[in-house]
Amino acid sequence: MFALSLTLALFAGTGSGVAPKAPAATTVAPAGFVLEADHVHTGAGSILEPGKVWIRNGKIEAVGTEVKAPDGAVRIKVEGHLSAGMVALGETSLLGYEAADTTRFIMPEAEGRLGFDPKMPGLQRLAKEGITTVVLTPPSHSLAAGRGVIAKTGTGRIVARAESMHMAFDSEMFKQRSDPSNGTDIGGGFIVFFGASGAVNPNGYRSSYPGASALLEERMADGKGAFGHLGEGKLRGWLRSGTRAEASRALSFAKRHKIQGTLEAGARVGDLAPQVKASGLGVALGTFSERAPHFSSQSAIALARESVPFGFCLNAKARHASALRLSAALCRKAGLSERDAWAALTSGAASATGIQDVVGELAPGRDADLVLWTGAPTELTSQVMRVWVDGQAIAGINAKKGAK
Amino acid sequence: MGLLKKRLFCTGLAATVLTATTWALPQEEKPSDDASIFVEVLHTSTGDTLKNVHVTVKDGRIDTITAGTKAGENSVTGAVLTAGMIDLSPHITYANNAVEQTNELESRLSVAGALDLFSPTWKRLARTGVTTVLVTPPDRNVVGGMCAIMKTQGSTDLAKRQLNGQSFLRGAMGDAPSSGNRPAWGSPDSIYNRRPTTRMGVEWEWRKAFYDAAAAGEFPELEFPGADVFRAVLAGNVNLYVQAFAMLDIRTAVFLKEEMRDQGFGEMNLWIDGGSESWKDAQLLKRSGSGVVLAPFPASGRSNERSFMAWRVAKDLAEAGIPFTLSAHGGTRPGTTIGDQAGRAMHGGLDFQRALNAVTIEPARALGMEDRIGTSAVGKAADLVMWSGPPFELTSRILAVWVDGVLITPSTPQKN
Repeated sequence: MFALSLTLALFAGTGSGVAPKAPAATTVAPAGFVLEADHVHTGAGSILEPGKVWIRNGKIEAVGTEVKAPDGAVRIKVEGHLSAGMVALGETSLLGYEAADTTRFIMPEAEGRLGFDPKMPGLQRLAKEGITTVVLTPPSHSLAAGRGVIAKTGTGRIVARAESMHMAFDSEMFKQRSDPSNGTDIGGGFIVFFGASGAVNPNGYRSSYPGASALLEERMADGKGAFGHLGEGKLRGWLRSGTRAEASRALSFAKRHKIQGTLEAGARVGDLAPQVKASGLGVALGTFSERAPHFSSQSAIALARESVPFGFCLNAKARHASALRLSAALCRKAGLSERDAWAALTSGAASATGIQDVVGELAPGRDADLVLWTGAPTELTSQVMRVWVDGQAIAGINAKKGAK
Repeated sequence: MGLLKKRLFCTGLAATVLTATTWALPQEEKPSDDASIFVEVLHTSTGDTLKNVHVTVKDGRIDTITAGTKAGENSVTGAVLTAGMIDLSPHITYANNAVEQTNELESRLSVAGALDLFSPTWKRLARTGVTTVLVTPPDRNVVGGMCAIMKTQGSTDLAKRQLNGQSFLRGAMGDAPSSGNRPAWGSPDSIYNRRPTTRMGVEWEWRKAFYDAAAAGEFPELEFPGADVFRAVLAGNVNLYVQAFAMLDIRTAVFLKEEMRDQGFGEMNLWIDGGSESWKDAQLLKRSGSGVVLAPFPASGRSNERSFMAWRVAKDLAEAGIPFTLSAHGGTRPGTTIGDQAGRAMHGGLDFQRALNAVTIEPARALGMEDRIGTSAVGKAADLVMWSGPPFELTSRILAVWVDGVLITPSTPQKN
C-alpha cells in the first residue's frame, strides 16, 4: 500500500504533461499499470481466477495469472469480474439525422466521421453500460449511404480505417415520402416522383427492389470511387436487410462481387445460416425490445451453429444500451451457449465488423478496453463498476455495489 | 425420456414466453424427391388416359409409368393423377416494391429481383396443384419488365429456383398503368407527373417505345437504355405479354402488333393476359396469331376493368384454334383455384381434354418448356397432382402434389 501511494505521487508530479486530463493517475505511468482481479474473463470462455492484465499506452501488454510487468508499473487490485468491453453494432441514433440525407439516394463517398462528434453524451451513456466500442451506421434512407464510424465510447476516438460502406437492401429506402422532391405518396403506397425544377426524379430515387439492385450493379460495374474500393476488397460493405428475401438478395450481391463485411439482418436470418456462412459475412442482429416483437434467439443459435460471427445492433426501437446484454441473456435462455452469447457481445461482434484484432478480447496487442463487473458479465444481474477505454479510466461511472 | 420431454417443454415455453416468436428451423436434409404412386386413372396431357397405373419418381423426374398393374407396397394411392398445373398469371408479386415507378418503360428489370421465396404464398399455390408459374411484374408501369419462370416449391435460392425458358416482356393496356395518377377524379397531381393518365396515353407510350427502339436500331445516336429488349420483342425473340381485359384493350394490343409488322419492324409474339372479352372477336386474335391467358371466370360475368367474361370464352378460343391457357390469378381459396377455372371452362362448353391441356401442356408450350414440364411422361419433371375423383369437378379434392418429385401436401394423403 505504501509503495502504491509513492508511485502514484511520483507520477502525479512528473507525468502530468504526458496525458492531459487523465481521469486517473494510473494512465500516466510509462510502465503502465496492472489490474489484478479475482476473476478475469479473457474471452472465448476462458476465465482466470485470479488473473492480471498489464496495460500500457492504451494497449494490453499481457494477460495471465502472472504478468511480467516492470517494477514501475502501478499495481491495482480490483474487486469483481474483469472482462473486455462490449462491442455494439449498428447504432443509428448517434450519427442522427445528420447522416440521413433525404435528398441523396446514393452518396457512396459520404463519410460518417465528418458528422461525428466525439464528445456527444450518447457515447458516455454506452460506456456506462460496459460498451466500449460502437459501430455507428447512417440511418439509411439511401441506397448507398456512405461510410459509418467505428468509435470508442469513453474517449470518442475513431477506430482508424475500419469502416464499411452502407448499402440498403431493405424497404426503408423506399419510404422517402415527406419531401415532394423525393416523390409523393399518391395513395395505395404508390409514389410519384417529380421535382420542383421540372426534372423528373432529380434525386435518382428508385421505388423497387429490382430498380435499386440495378442501380447498385451499374455503380459496381463503373467501379469508380467507393464502389471501386468495395469491388477491389479495399473497403468493407455493410449490407442492411430485413426480411429473408432481402437478406438473400444481399448475400447474392456479396457473393457476386466478393464483398467482405457485415449483413444486418432481421429476426429470421437464422434460416439462411448456411448461406451466410458460405458468404463469409458477419451478421448484425437486432436486439430484443418489448416494442420489436420479432427478435428471435433462434437465429442467434442457428448462426452460432454455423460458426458465423455475429453481434447485436442498437438500432432496435428501444435502443437502450442495456438491450445488448438483455438480448444475449435471452439467447442463452433459449439454448445459446454462454461462450457464444458472450462472443456476440464482444469478439463475435468485433469479427462481424472486421475489428477482431483490435478489440473484443483480453489479449496482448488489443486495445485496453476493460469493464469491471460486480459478477460474471454474462449474468444479467451483474452491474458495471468501472470502465477503461484505451487504458483510460472513464470518469462518472458510479461504482455500484451490486447484490453480489 | 421423461426428462427429455420435460426439458423440451421448458425450452419451448421459455422461448414462447420470452421472445414471442418461435418456428421450426428448416430441415437440413434435402426432402426426398423419390416417390411411388398408384392411381386408377392417369391423364397424361398428351391425349392418353391410362388405367391402374404405377408411377415411380426418381431424382425429381418421372422414372417409370406402368399401366394395368397393381399398387406397389409403399405406394401413395389415389383415384386420378395429372401433370402439375402451370399458371402464367399467378399475381404473386403485387407488392409496391416490385414496381419501379421512376421509369415508365422499364424493359431492363426482371421481376425476379422482387420475389420473396420465403413467402407462404408459394406453398398455398402449390397446394392448389400449381407447380410452375410465370411471375409477372405488377401492371403499374406501361412496361413493367421481364417475367420470371419459377417452380412453386424448391430452393429459396433464386438462382436455383428460377427456370430457363421463353422470355416474356410484360406490360399493360387499359386502366392499370394509367390509374396511378388519379385520373378518374380530376386533374393529375402535377404537370411534372410521369404517368399517363388515360388509355390513349398508355397506348402512345407503347407505340413510342417500339418506334424509338426501331429507330435506334438504325441510328445508334438514338439508342436509349432498354431499347435492345424492345428490338428483341420486334424480332420475335422475346414474347410480349400484355394485360388486356376489355375488347377495346385487346384490340389495341393486337393493332400494335399488326402496326409493327406493317411498318416492317418485325413480327412480335403477342400473348394477351386477361382476355375476358376475347369471345367478342376471336377471329381478330386468330388473324393476328396471338395467344391468350384467360382471366379467372367470375360467377357474375363481370371481369376486371369493367369487361364481361362469357362462360363460353374458352370454348370459343379452342374452336377458333387460338392458343390459350387458363389462370386463377393466384386464387387459392376453394372455388378460386386453377382447377376450379378448368371446371368453369368445362361448364362453358370446353371438353375435359382441352381443359386439362389449357392448364398443363399449353402453358408449358408457351414457356417453351414442353420438353420438361406439362405432361406426365417418363423423363419429365415429376410435377404431379393426385385427385380424389375426376379432376376439375367441384366435388373432387386434391390429395397430394409433387413438385420436382417432392411431396408437398398433404403429408398423409387420404385414400379415396
